[in-house]
Amino acid sequence: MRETKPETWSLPEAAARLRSGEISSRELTISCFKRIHEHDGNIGAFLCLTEASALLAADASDERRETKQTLGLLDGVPVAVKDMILTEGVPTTAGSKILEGYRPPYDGTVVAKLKSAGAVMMGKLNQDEFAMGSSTESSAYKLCKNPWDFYRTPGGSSGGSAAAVAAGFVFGTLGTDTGGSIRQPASFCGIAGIKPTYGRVSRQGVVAYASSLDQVGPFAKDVSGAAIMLQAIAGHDARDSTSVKQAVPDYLQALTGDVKGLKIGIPREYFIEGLDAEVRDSVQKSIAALQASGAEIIDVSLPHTEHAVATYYVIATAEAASNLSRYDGVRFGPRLGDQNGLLSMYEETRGQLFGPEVKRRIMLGTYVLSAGYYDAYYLRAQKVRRLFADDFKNAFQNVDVIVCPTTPTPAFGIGEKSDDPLQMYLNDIFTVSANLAGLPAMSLLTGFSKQGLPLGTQIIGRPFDESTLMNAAFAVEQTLNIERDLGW
Amino acid sequence: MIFAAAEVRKLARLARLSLSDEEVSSMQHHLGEVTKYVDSLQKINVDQVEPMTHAVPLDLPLRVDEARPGVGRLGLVSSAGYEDGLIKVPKIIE
Repeated sequence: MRETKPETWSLPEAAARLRSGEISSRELTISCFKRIHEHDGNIGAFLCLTEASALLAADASDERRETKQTLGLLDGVPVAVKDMILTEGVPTTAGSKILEGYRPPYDGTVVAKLKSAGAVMMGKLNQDEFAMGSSTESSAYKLCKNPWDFYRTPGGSSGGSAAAVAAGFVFGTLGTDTGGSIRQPASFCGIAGIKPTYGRVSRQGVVAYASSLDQVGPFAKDVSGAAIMLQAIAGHDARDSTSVKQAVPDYLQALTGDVKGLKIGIPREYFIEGLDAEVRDSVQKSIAALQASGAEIIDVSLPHTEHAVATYYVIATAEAASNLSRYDGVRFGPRLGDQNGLLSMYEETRGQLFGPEVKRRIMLGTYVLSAGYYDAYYLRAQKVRRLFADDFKNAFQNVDVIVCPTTPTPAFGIGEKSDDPLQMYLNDIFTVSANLAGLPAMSLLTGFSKQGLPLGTQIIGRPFDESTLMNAAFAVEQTLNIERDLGW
Repeated sequence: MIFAAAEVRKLARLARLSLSDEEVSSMQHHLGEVTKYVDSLQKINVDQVEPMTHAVPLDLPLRVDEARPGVGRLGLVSSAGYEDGLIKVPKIIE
């Protein structure tokens, strides 16, 4: 029977089987590692596996279950995190050679929270170097392939996090999203991925890319799995001054599927020329599903959308140039060129160990921050950023959530855009706005193309109202009831 | 538009990046192309608009002034190289 194969289970299904005693956490963990060993050679989702500690954690979970001290839904469930997130004693490279061999002395808050919820940490996931990319092709270690089509990318930058869930290697993962790095790979890999509101989840112990935009969030096959993961990591953290003191609601309870009277905004600027017809159809199906469930559909305008990518690249690269100055050969990773003095050490370590895309962004960021250009680029981009926030504020006066495409096309081919950085950047057109405005947004599976590629729909919500947006996503998911079968 | 090689080299020096001649040449084109693209921002009227630095209003919380166990000096700089418990770096004053 197909259902008995753990790789086909969603996170809630795995949790239910652990709870009923149908399978132990040790058995489930071993079965996940078996699948990883069989198939990850083709996919490339993991940069590092932590088998010994995972089995210890699984045994501890089984013991808790036996003594009726289970910690909750995630107890005993195999999960993994993007290599941007610090893990005590476990290599953390952010996909870069400049952090090769770095073993952090502590866990990032989100990892500590997953562990204290009883989740079994299976390893670290592949990504674009320092989360700079939309295809995981800028990983300094290896390519990651889309589980639905090995000639295509899984998206990025959290490509490994999305591919690992889609491939049935683990049940939930964490990624980071600075301009779409959770939602775009979730869409390309046919799963659910949430970028929470800026400030909802602690970034303490997460490698910084662009600090005013970065946010950690979960992936799972379905909306309720993602809600369970988000529940575990959300909340204020005194060690991250950008995390916000806001009560965290019960997300699972919010998933009623009842959207009667919910006002759904459709931004006309997102249905542009160049939007793939099948992507458009799948978004239209999501909208129709919501309407059939009693939601009200309202046309809205986000007039600055065409400037989103430009604004994003000025702000993100400026912040990146500043954040990445800490990688200087002194404290982390390998050190090169030190026999010729300090400046040579800095320049050689950075010049040789950062990859091409990281160097491009550091150079652009340095340029937009440099004397004479700061006002024209960086300051101006910060002003335009406010216009984005105002666009959304205006729209959310009339609607509860916004529904739109996640990406202009389904997953693109490996190598298809890697020679043209600007084309790669433009793929983020529909996702960067939510980061600029700090809003929660998610992508979920809403169809397949004729070629068998997953198609996603994005739902954007009001600040700190992840519940409403996840419930809208849940309603779409329930109505469309899309079957997924990888075929392997 | 392409950037002058000298300008790319100056930026690379500011960013503390050694670049090969080939990288300088590719960066001349890339920076030219991307700045041309982001120049679209110059068309937007931003008079009277306050810059937005963060998505949420930030205060500056102070933590309670009490000692907590840290990770230790050597734990923080895992791969720097040590001598007598001290971190080794090149001479900084020539």
